[in-house]
Amino acid sequence: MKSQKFTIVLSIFLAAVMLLAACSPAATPVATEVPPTEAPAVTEAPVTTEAPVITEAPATSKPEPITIQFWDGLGAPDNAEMQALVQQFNQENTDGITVVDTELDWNTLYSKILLDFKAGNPPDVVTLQQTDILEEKGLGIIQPIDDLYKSVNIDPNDFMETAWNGAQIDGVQYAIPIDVHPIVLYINTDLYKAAGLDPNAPPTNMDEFLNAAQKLTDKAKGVYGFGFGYNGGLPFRVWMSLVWQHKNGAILTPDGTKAAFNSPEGIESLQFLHDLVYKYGVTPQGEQDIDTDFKQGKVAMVIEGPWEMADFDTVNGLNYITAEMPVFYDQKATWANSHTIAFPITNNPDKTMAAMKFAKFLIDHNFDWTKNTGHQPVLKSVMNSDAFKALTNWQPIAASVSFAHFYPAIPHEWEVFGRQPTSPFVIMMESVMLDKATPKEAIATAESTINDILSK
Amino acid sequence: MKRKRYNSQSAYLFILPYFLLLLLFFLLPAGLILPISFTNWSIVGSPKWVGLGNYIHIFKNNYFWKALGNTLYYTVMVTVCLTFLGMFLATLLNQKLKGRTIGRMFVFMPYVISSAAAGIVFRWIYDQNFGIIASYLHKLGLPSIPFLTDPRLAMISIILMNLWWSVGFNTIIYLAALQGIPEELYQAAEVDGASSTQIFYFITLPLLKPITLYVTVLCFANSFQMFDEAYIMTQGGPLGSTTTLVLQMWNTAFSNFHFGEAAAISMIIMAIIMIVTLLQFRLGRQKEEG
Repeated sequence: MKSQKFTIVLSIFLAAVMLLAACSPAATPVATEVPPTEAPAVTEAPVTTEAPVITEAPATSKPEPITIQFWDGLGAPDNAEMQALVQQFNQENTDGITVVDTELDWNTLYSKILLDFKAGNPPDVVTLQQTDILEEKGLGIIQPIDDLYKSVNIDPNDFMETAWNGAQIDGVQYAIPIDVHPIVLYINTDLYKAAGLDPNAPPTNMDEFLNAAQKLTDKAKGVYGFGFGYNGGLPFRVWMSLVWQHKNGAILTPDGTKAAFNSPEGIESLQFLHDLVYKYGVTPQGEQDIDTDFKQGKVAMVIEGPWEMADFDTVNGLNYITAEMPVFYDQKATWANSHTIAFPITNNPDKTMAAMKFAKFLIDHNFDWTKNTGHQPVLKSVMNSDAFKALTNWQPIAASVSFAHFYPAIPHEWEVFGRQPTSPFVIMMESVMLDKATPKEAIATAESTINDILSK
Repeated sequence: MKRKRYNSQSAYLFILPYFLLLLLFFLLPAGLILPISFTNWSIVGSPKWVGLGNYIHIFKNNYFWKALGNTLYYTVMVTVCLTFLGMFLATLLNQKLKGRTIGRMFVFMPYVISSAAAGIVFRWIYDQNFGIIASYLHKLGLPSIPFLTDPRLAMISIILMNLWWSVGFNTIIYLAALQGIPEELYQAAEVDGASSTQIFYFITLPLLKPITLYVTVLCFANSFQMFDEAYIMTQGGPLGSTTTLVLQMWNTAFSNFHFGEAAAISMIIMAIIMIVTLLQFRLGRQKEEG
């Protein structure tokens, strides 16, 4: 009898719990996990504050509240600043607009946006890398915005040409750029000085770089001169920068139909990166996480994006400077991409206009964006301001924009230049840096895979 | 006679809702996969007929063979290990030992969580910088082990995680089967002076043969379609060592938007599972007859 009573009580309890769970308010959109190597993505809290009424002059007519969906692919550490800006916009705007920010990793974002668009449920505003604009427009997902941006007084003349023009297709504007992010050299100044080197004279060419790296390497202490991983997106972007540094270096043919990197320039660049580990011994083998190694002082130099500054700044006692990518070959060149804001076709002009107002807000806060994330501003007025010029480590990055190269824009952008573990360039870098294939073999494999993709 | 028909009519009515859902959400879409596999379709625009083009392209692609190899390695290892482990744990938990109820609970508990949740938990356990294993190794002064980032270790790490997660299921099945073996057989064997090893080998094992067939067929079909763990823990890397066929299919469909080719891959997966399952049943039946 006792056990029967207990069973009844337990069943009622379970039923009550399930009922409560079912009646709970709508679930917050949860961000999908970003792999640990890039630091876990923070689950965002949807902001649902109503637009505040201005206390000085009471509004005569409160605007209709309007909620727009924003999908943002910016992972850590950028996501913190974007969340802050979204919350600020939601609180400050007088048009009754609420932006709901859903964070996704880029891979998920690109698959989901196509599928949700087909299902009739696209977001109202989305972040896109500049080089993916062509593919998204080709899929019919994003809309041209020439009239729209003019109506919120966005002035193209204040934008850097590379950024503004890069977001156009055949002269029609498809997105609003918010930053440019070239990769640069980071140097641990304490280790640099301890090795007898001068941080005011960072390496500018191959010889200086190798000299510094060798001086900085002390295997007995487990310290290496240069950190260079083998997985993810960064290694092949560094390799591309080296290819572009050659006078005749190219990744694809000018019409974007065939691979052009199986060349002496391509092979030489890949061989150099391989030699850093296996010949010069200045880079650890099979390095899993260059950012953590740099933060722990296990490597003295890394090539990384400007977004890492926010991450490195969290480490007490880590003193570093940024410098332009050394000119290893003939000319200055470095990889870059640009975050832009694009507008999926939703056939809801009010929401698209609200989204454009949000984009204008982001542009107006371009200085906050660059200061808190390290990504380079797109507005000339911000770049020329004293406040920006006072940010020391930002200056080499800003200078790098002038010799920045972007991926060639092609319809199959994500399949060719994506950084998923099964992408051709990722596999190429992995096999060479882990010494499983010679640069010649690895490049040939990547070339045939990519030509296969491009021929579709 | 009338009553009989009435009874079966109501029976059909009972299963109709389930069958409708099955038809609409599983059978029809699955059936559409075959024609889609003969087309070139990227969800935008209409499909274009390419005949066997997708299949030829797949068989010529090195990544397909690598994925097939990875999948077979994973499937064989998991099926063999899980069968033995399941049988071992079930035999253990069938003994009249103290705490065997708690033992059974602990063995089955991991299976209660979804494979994706288990994947996330283990990704953090295996993490080289912040994982729990790494922190213990660090305390002992040992270097951390690159579970998920070394091409030689990654698949083994996933296999170990899957063993922990799904051994409970096999154990329960074997436990039920063991408890179905009549006590008299054991008592008779003991009277005849048989040792426990002989009892196990000559009585328990043969009587477990049918259930072993069931377990291996299920195990093979399930692990051949492994996706969640690889997607959550390694996304197919490093060096493509953990890319399984289903992950390859997923990438082809949702990363690269080649739905026709992805449909072709799924047809190939289905064909392989069907052939192997048929073989398993044939072998199982032969053993019984022999």
